[in-house]
Amino acid sequence: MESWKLLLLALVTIVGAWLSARMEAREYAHNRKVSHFLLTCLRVMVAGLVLRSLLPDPVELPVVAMSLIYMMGIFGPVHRICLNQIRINRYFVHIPWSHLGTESKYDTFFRTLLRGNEKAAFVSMTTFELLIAAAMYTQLTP
Amino acid sequence: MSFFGSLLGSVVKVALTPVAVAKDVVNVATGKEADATKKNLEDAVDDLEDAMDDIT
Repeated sequence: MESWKLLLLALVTIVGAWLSARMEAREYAHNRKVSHFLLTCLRVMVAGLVLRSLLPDPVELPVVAMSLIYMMGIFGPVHRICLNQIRINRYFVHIPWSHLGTESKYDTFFRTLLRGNEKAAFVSMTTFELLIAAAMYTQLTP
Repeated sequence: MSFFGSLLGSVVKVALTPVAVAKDVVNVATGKEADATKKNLEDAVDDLEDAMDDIT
């Protein structure tokens, strides 16, 4: 895939992560229950539509899969950072900048792995996801 | 390989994608070339195509 398409994908993902974080923060502020499963389905669907418009026909399955993993690697850190910052600065919620979700198995796995150190888990997860995005970028570029 | 063998090979390779991604992360972090995910997914698609050829 051409570099400009990957950069455009990154840009769209960053904007999507920020918008999603804003909406999620608002739902949390109003104490509404957020369905993470439905949210994930919605995000994957939007990512699929964006990819469909960017990739040429016929689509190659490995390229689609790696592009989705690339988008996930960018979405994760941006969404996590934006969500915490919006909750802290706009809704004045008393949480640390490194706050992680309590229901997600992924968050719990990293927290357990780092013996409950939330800051270390936050930084590790963010670094890990950015490295995933970098690994996919190198394989998607010709 | 038979239809079921090829199909099973494809499913196993798709299931092993997270391992390939983790290997690529290590490769990127250590400055080596990352190509495990691409190879793994391409092999999975090849196996799937073989399985389709077997039944047609």
